Amino acid sequence: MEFITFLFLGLMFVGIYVTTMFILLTIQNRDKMFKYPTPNENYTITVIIPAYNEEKSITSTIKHVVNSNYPDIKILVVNDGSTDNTSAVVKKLCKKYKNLKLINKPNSGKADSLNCALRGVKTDLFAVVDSDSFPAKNSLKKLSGYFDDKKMSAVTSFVKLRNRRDNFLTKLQAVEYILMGWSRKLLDFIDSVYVTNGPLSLYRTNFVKKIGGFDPKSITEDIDITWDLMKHGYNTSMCLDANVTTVAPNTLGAFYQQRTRWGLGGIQALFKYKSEILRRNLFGSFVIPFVMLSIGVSVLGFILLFLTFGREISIKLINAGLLTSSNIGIFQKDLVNLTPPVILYLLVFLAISSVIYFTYVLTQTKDRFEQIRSFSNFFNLLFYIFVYLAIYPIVWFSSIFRFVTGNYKW
Amino acid sequence: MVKTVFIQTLIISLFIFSTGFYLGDYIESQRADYIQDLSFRADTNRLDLNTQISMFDKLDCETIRSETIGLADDTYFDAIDLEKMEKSEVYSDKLYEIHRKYDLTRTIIWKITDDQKRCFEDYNIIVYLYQYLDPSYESELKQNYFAALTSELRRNNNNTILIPIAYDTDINSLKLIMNILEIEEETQLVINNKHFVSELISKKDLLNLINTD
Repeated sequence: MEFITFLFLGLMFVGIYVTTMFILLTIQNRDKMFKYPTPNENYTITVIIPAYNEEKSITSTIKHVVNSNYPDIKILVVNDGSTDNTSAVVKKLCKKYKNLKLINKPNSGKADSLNCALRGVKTDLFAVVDSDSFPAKNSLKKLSGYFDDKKMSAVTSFVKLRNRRDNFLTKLQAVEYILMGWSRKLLDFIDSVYVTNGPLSLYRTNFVKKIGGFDPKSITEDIDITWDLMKHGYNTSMCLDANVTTVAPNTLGAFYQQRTRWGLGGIQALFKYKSEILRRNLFGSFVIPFVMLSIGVSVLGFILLFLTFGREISIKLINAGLLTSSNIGIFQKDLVNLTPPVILYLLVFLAISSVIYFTYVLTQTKDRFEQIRSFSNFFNLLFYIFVYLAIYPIVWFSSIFRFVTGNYKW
Repeated sequence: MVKTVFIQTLIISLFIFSTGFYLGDYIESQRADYIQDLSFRADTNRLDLNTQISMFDKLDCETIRSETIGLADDTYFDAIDLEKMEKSEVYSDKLYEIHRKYDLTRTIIWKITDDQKRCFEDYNIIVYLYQYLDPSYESELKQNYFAALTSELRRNNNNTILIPIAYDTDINSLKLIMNILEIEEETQLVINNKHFVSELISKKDLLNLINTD
């Protein structure tokens, strides 16, 4: 057996393992997916909204937070040296909402803005809400109940897209956000929620202060803070019923920029916490290897597919041009090969299981009629699985390149 | 609870993976059996042809043509099947020797068409020589083109006998013929043992070349 075949089988095994684990966790926890604990204590909460040039969306974000049904929340907007009218817009709102405060500071990045706000936070918990995100009315309440667990340090929410109807790219991201949220909840059942997202997450103030706050050097402070908390033995969790909507990039350029930044943040975290790998806790023995494998399988799978089929496909394409110009039929009945390599059957099995499972997931989320009702939405799912996921490793290559060349620009 | 999930997942994954692996191995051995059958048939046909060669002086052209073309056709289609299987083969590497048998049979057919010129005067004999072992990207590109070109020619012209042969499977008789005809390895098409084509050629130019005879 060739090395490349051996490698392919290895990747297939990892793929089957992860898919099986998610299906198994879904079956075992199907009644608990949307459940959340009711808080036994009244935790005080400060909501921090870091903002940079968000004059268009900040009003709506603040209004969504103000309208939350959680009692007595304090709101801190950190204007991170915006060059637009963000500061003026928030100042105006401060007159209207007494629990809203504005901190103006020179531009120094999101993590530093959060630390700046954190210094003034006296409440039990604090939430981080991105300035282009809009929490649902009851989300903070649903998230707060998890903190009855005395080791709970951070709880994250279920992010949905506000602008999913913009174009095909945002529709694909809408599918992806749902699947990401679902899989994050499944990881919650094995105590492995490894990202507390930027749109809405709730943290225990004294735990975050104890570990020194957010790392300003990290390009994705949400991954970093979660890993840091896990490293210190604190728990993290996820509530699938606490919703927040956010605005996703609707152009390829902005999307590519955002995703390479996420990728870079992931790689940065892997290197920062490499000494934790294989430690005898879930963070070291599962979370870090899981993230490493996710990146590895994606990149290696892409390279293998390219090596296996890239050559043949490019030859067929060039030949199609040559044959057409020479007036020869492109599809020669004798030469059509309908005998796929046996190894592809495993891949086909994996693809079919994924389609069935992802369809199930979409029907289980609250947007089920929205997401799966029409053929076009099902087409989006198929496109997401077979095209989007297949070419997504390009983003990883770019992130790796940025990491190697030290390009940490936002 | 957490550990249990990992172990349960491992057991189920191993079951799925090994079932898939053994199923794949089973399907491939079924294919190998099919190829083995083809191989036996090729052996018999080649021996049969060798026996007939000794009698060719006593046979009329009609019979010689019919036997040779019949075998050339059978070999052509069997070899196409064989190559499809080879491209799909993953778990084992049993087909190389069978491929050599076909190359030998096709070499014999080529030799017959040359020895019995009188019977094949109205026929165009196109020998397509290709690299079997690790062709470069450029060679594979060219070979794909020639395979399509010659296949179309064979389908549209009843008086064309197409003999594709891999020149690098270590068949000594083929090496001898290539030496005698002074054919270099870069050559892709040998037309009626007179014209040698090594560069990409359009269908029109190839037809012109054939019709100059």
